[in-house]
Amino acid sequence: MDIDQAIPTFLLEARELLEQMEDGLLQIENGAGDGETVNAIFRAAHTIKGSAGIFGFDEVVGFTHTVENVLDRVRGNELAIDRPLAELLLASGDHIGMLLQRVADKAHGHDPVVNAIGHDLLGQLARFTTASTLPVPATSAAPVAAPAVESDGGTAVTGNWHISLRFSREVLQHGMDPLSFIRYLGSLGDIEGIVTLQDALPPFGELDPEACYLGFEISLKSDASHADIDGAFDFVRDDATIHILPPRSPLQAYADMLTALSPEPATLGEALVRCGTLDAAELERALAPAPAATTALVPVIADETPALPAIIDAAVPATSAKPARDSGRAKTLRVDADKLDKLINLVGELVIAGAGANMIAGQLKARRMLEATSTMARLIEEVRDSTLNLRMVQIGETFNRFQRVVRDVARDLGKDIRLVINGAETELDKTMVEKIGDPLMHLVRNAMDHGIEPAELRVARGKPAQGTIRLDARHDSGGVLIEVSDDGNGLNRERILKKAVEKGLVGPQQHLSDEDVYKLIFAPGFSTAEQLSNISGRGVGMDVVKKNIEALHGSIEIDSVEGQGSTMRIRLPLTLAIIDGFLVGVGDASFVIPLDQVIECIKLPAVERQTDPRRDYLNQRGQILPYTRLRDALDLPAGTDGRHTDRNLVVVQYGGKRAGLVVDSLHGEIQTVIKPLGRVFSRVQGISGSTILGSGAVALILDIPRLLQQVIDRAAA
Amino acid sequence: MSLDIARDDGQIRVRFSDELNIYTAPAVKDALLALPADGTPCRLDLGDVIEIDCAGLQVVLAALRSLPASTLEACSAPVRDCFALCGLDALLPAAPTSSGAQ
Repeated sequence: MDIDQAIPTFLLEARELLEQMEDGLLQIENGAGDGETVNAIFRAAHTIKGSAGIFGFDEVVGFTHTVENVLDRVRGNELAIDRPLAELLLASGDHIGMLLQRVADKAHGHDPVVNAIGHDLLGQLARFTTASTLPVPATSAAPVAAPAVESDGGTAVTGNWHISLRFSREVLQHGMDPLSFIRYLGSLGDIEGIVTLQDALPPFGELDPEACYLGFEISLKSDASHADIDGAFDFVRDDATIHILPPRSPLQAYADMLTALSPEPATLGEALVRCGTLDAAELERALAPAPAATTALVPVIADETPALPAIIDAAVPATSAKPARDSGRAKTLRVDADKLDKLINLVGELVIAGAGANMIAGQLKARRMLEATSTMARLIEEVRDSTLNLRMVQIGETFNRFQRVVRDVARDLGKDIRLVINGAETELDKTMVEKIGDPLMHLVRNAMDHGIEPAELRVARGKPAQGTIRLDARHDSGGVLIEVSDDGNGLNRERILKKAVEKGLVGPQQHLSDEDVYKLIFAPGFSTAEQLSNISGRGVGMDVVKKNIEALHGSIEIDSVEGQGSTMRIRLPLTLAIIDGFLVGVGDASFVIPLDQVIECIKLPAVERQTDPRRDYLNQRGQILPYTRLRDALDLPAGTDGRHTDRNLVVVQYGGKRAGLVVDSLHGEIQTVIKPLGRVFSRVQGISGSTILGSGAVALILDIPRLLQQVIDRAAA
Repeated sequence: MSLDIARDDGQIRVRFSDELNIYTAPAVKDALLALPADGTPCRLDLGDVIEIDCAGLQVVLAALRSLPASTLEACSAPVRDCFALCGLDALLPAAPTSSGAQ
């Protein structure tokens, strides 16, 4: 295996671990953490270090090692995480992230800025590591630390690489001399210890002089990278079992290797002691069976082994010690997003092809064929749903990022603010989750800066001194509703209106509803903040937020009560790829309305058809229903035959509002693969996409939120 | 490659010369196997070996393990290097030079 190919996986995993570390630290800082949180933080650092070591990313290993030392003391109850330490550890996490970024950028040499930061942090960390310089005592002379060590196995003290070589019997016949590889290793560093294993040698009479029976355990002191060392064996890879363990590997890694290589790991382990890789105490610890009570071992193994399966498998091929305990994690599979997109595209084509087959079967009036196609249609629908489901991810990960943001920004602002998250398990298409992060970030920052009042003012207003920001997510009428709310100032209607008049956005005499006033903050360049801060208030925000959300076919609305707080409500569709639609016709054209936005279809009463065509509301079971003629809304020419005219009314809803759309004909439900509109059509109002019907004809997908707004605006005017 | 097997003073001395490698190891094995297994001490003289590889090393190690009371007597520089490389220095005879034992 080419180790370079595993680097992206390493980076991905390491960043996830860093996030876990950060989450844990924030929890502890908020007083929510417990022993397991500390363990989780420690394990995250430990795994990053171990994996980085496999690749020979020494900068990462060195720095993380110190962080790990501090965390080890925390774990051993020698040290408590208080605010300054949490701060320092968070900063250290950021620094590790920076070092990882350098790895990702393939940055060579030293970056003076990064070095300076690292140096400074190491200096600060050193104050916390004084009591123990190494995470694991070299000998068992520290009985106090022993339980902690046993609970996760600890790491070896050795600064040397350990290389274990077993050759196939045929290696000599293949023209390779194992000794030459060992000689080459000697050129990469100093072989400080080597043990030649002869136990496979048969009795002299049975010896095949052309077969190789020898094995080697080597302790190599070297600055070479894993790739360099591993590269030494390029020619003999097919003829050898090679284990390379970086300096200070977890004892568990040695144990795994020993178990993989020998039915008697303890005997083989002595070779490791003889070549100087482990000392007797370390070997004993490594091979000590997990005491039944030490359940802490479970998460360590479970966390560490799958963290970098590919890499660890490369370094330790047989992980016989790998327990079934990690089955929970092993069930997830990383898949390239492109592959998924391709699959979704194909399913989309399948949906169209299925619709075509169904249509032809209908035209042929072949009953059995129709049955077959309808079974197929059902299956296609299931395939479609499961495929789309593959892209669904929980929004929680995005939400959790805000914990750190809120913490840091609150500190910058000198405010005490907590973030409450609800509905983190709500699932949303991955693309949406990625793209909604920035707008949410802006809303959260805004709420902290403009929403939450200074503590004194809050107390004076009879509110708790600590401000609260809430992030909520839930599924709502076929989409997702995300709310960002605060218990702060609320929007100041008068101030917004004054500003809007100043900017000429509205006339001074214009009467506007609260909702309309609040919407003004989405106008480009609008900001009422009297003092600009570095957090927000530059007026380059809300309009961009709105634009970004609309780009996702979503919408945003504001609820606010002055003095009590505001709520930004974002509605997003679940996915951008495939929807269930309702096909309607106007004249010769077909349109698709997303099915979950359709409430009902009614015949437009004849009396309505004959009345003033400008009339745009009707009485539906005692309620006013504003409606529009789709033909008018989209400026369509009259149908060629003029037979179907405005017979049907489709009642649609979105975001709690209802309106009617008058169309000529109703064609029923269809599955729709959304094809984006070309840029030429980007300015067309009321259309959000297109789709291909089974017949091959193109139908446009209606942008219901926008149409609805038009209808309501017009009805109110 | 040549093997010179001599008996004197109630012990067997086997002198190896030239190459001790995968090409010669089978012959060496056969020759050593032909030695009487009657417990006579056996001394392996590697003083004239000019090249040794893994197969050669292996046959020597196997011989030392199987032949009763066998020891290494003299080793040439290539043999010493090879044993040192493999961490087998302990098996080497104390005398640092190769031909002094003759």
